[in-house]
This record gives sequence, structure tokens and C-alpha cells, in this order.
Amino acid sequence: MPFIEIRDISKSYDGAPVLNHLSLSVEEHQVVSIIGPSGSGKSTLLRCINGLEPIDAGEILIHGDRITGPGVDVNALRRDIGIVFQGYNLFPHMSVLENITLAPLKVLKQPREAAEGRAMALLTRFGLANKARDYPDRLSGGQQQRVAIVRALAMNPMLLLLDEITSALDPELVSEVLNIVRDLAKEGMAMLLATHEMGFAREVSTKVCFLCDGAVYEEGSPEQIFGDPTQERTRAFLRSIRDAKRI
Amino acid sequence: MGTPQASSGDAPEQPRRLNIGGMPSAPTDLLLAAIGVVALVEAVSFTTIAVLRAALLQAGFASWLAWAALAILALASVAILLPLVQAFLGWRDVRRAVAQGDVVAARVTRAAARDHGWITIGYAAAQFVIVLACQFLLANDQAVAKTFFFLPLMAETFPLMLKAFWINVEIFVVTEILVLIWGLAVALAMLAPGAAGKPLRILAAAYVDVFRAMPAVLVIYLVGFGIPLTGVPILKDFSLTAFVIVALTLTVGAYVAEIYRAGIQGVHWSQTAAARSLGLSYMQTLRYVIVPQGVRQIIPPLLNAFIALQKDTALVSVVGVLDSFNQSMLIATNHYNLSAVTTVAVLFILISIPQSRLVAHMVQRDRARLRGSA
Repeated sequence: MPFIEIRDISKSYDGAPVLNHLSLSVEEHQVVSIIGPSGSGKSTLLRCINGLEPIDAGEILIHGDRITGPGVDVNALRRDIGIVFQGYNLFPHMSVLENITLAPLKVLKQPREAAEGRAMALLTRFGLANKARDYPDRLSGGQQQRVAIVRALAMNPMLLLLDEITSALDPELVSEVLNIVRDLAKEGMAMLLATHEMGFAREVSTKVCFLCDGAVYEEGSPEQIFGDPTQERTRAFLRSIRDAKRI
Repeated sequence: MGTPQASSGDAPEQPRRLNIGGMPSAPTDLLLAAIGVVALVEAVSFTTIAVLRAALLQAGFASWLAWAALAILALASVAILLPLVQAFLGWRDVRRAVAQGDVVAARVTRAAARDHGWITIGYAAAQFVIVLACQFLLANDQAVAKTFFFLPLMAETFPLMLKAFWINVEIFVVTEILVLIWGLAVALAMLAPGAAGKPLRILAAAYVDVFRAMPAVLVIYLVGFGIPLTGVPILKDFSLTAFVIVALTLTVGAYVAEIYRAGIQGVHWSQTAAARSLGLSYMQTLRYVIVPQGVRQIIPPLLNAFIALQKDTALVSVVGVLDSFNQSMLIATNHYNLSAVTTVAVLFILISIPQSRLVAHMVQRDRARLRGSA
């Protein structure tokens, strides 16, 4: 049984289809990169998996359990599935430590000491310990995004969804964020990442999916997708990326 | 300035040159205008000082203190001659620079001269308005000043007024606390989610529409006189002050609910997405993430609503609460003089100004905090 099974899901906004009979499966400890042109549904797919967006048709299963549709406890689901956004979305009125410990304290009801201890351990590991008392506004984009990853990790998720997490960063800050993702991949954290960092996707993924018009157009190993794509649209997309010197 | 190279149409065009004017001229018109305005203002000022002197003499205030005060006023009124002199000196400098053919010096001195000319006119205009106001106070043998600012009566009734004003303070402080809670509750009801929240949303919207539309004085009248008449148990035994507090809370609560709602809706949806994605429930998201940010945005409009409320406490006199306005009207009737009402006005001004400053200071400190570290 696959870890996550996405079966034939569809979603539209005001009649405009965003996901169109999309199916995809993810195995345990797998890192799946989702690439594709903007508007192809990458972000929406991730947001559907943790219930931030309801789907119109199809179903998503985790360990064979249906996590979409009525009656699903989305709060419980989201405890185990972390998401990191392109715009960091840190809470500006809370310090870094408060950002990270909010959910462990209020959702998991951890004692403060335990929550702060785990937060500090994660911050230390990613070189952010000295930022614990700072407010997000004081941090660089790269630091903010690393804090956002730590905030998601503090819930000890089974799956991490990364929604174009380096797209809002200045080029020189990208690597500090990607290094964390690389680390997590080595540890076996299951991740789904929507990304435009093709080189990184190729290096870190076990599977790459090319999304187009709301469906998985082509999927395969990174070597196959980047080295020998079978579909013309995949080739065209990768060519345009290459022309922009982003690979 | 350049000599034309060719007159025929198809000759090569001259290279374009930046043209920002040649040698400037001295700002004579502006200087003359400034002199005219100053002359007029000084004439009016000294007339007023003469009237004031006559009034002082008549009132028997012929001490050295009075003469010193008059002398200071006279000195203050000629202070605008300083920028005028500078404007004149500048004007002279421009003429000199022009005579020497120094374009740069001419421009610099002209800019300074024009600045001083306009400064003179600006201050003179302000002085003119102030002097006119003084003229009004002194008009008709100082009848205006005596009607509104009769100091002996103000001093004599001040303790009474202060005590009555305390009633206003009590009413608005209690109302403000209640409004903060009630307004938030109504705002959250207006934003209640889903099908289950619909009746609450409709109810809250109806409340806001009704109480925002009704004049506060009507609500105070209806609640203050009406509830005791109904004889409803418990309610009828409340004090008159309690009734007006309820009435004001209902009225101002409608405004404040709208302010809260705007603040809450003004928090970017991505904050909700982030909070919900961490597993926080709807209420937890509101409480820990959305409301704390929304409230920060609404502090200025909230202060506006509160200052409006503070002034509206003067309306409670319609149901007979002996607040400062009511008390001042009694004094005004007894003494046929409005100075006690002026005292009330001054008290309201005195409590309102520090609040704006204090809140501005708090907002600034909070912003600095969020840009720093805990």
C-alpha cells in the first residue's frame, strides 16, 4: 500500500479547472518534486493534501485512509502533515520561538518546557538558535523561511509539503534553505515539493512529476525526466527553463 | 542663448540644450506683497493692543504686570518683521548678484529670498487670524470674553464642575471597557463561519445596522426613561447611570464591532492558512493569530470611536444624569453666563489630547518591538 495515494482528483475555482483528474502516489520516505508551468496546479495540489482546499471529485488516501470529503477531522490531519509556504507566513506579532511553539503548545498540548526544548534543539540544528527571541521582521528572507520549516517540523509531521519555498528568496539565500531540505531528505522525511529549482529537484528527489493543465503529464525518476523526457510538452517546458539559464 | 546655425528647414538640427532659465530676477513682487501684508497685520495688531489696554485701564488692572504683558504682546506682534528683513536683505543680494552676472549666486540668493518672503506671509496670515479672534473676544466692551471666559465664575464653580465631570469619566471608562468586549463579540458573530453561523451573522449585522443608524441621544432617552417605565424585574432597579452606560455601549458597540471586523478581515488570509495548516482550530486561529494582529491595525480608529464616545457622555444630561454638561447648564441659568460650559469644553479637550499622544506612543513602541527581539 502506498503512503499517499491521490486518486483522480479534480478541483475548479469558479468553473475554471485547476486540477483535472490528477492521480499520483507517494511511497514512504520518498521525496517527490512537482514541476510545471505556473498555473499548472502545483500549489493547489499541495493545499488539497492538507485540507486547506476542498476537492470537488476524487479522493486522497494516506495509509489507505481517506483524508478528503466530509467527516474528516482536518485539524487532526494537519497535525501530521506540515506545509511550508512560498511567502513564509510567519506570525509577525510573535517571536521566532513563539511562532514555533504555538502549535505544539495549543494543538499537541505539550508542556511549555518540552515544546521550547524541542524548538531550541531544531533551531540550534539549523543554525538559528541566536534568533529565537527575534521577531520575524528582523530576519532575512532565508532565515524566515528556515524558521517556517522549523515551525512545521516542530509538529513532528509524517509528511512535509513545500510550496515553492525558495521562489520569494534572493538568489544568494536559496542555498541555506535548500540545505535544510537536503538534510531532511537524507533523514528519510517524506516530502512533496513544488519547485522551480530544477537542479535541486534533480539532486534530491526520488521521483519527479511534470504537472500540466491540472494533471500529471509525465512522471519518472529525475534522471529520466530531466535527461530523457518522453513527452513533447515536458521537453518544451525544460527547454524554456534551460533558455532562462535556471538549470 | 545659442546663435542659430541655419535658417533653412532641412539643415541638421542643433543639439538640444537643457533650458532652465537664464539669469533670475529679484523677487520684487513677492517682497512688496510681504511688506503689504505685514503692514496690514501690524496695523490690526496694534489697534487690538490699544483696545486691550483701554479695557485693562477700565477694569482697574493698571499694575506693572499688565503693562509688561502688553509690552510682550507688542514685541510678539512685531516678530514677523524679522523674516521680512531677511526677505529684504535677500532681495538686495539677488540684485547684487545679478549686477555682477553671477548666475549661481543669483539663483541661490533668490531661492532664499523667496523662502523668507513666503515665510513672512505665512506667519503674518496666522497672526492675522489670531488677532481677529482677540478682536472678537474684546468686541462690544469685552462682552464676548465675559460671556464665555468670566474667570471669577469659572474659578468659583470649578470644584463643582470637576466633580460633575467625574461622572462623565466614570461613564466613559466603564462604557469603553464594555464596548471593547461587546464590540469584539459582535464582530466575531458577524464573521461566524458556515451554515451554522448564518443566523448569528444575520443577527449581528441587523444589530449593527439598527444601532449605527439611531442617534445616540435617542437610545439614551429610550433606555434611560423607557426601561424604568416597563417595570421589568431586576432591570428596573438599575441606576440611571447604569442605563446610560448600557445605552452608550449599545450605540458605540455597533461602531466598534465594525472597526473590529475591518481589522480582523484586514489580516492577510495567508496567516489563517499558516495557522490552520499547523492544526489550530478556527477559534484558536482567531484567538492567537488573527485577532492580535487585527487589533493592532484598528487602534487609531478605535481611539477615534472612544473620543467620540467620551464627548457623547454629555448627552446623558437628557435623562437627568447630573454630569458636567448638565451641571454647567444649571450654573449658566443661575448666573446668566456661559463660562461654566466653557470649563466643560476645556476639561473635554484636556482629557482628549493626552490620549491621542499616549496611544500614538504605544503604537510606535509596539511597532519598534516587532522589528526587534523579545
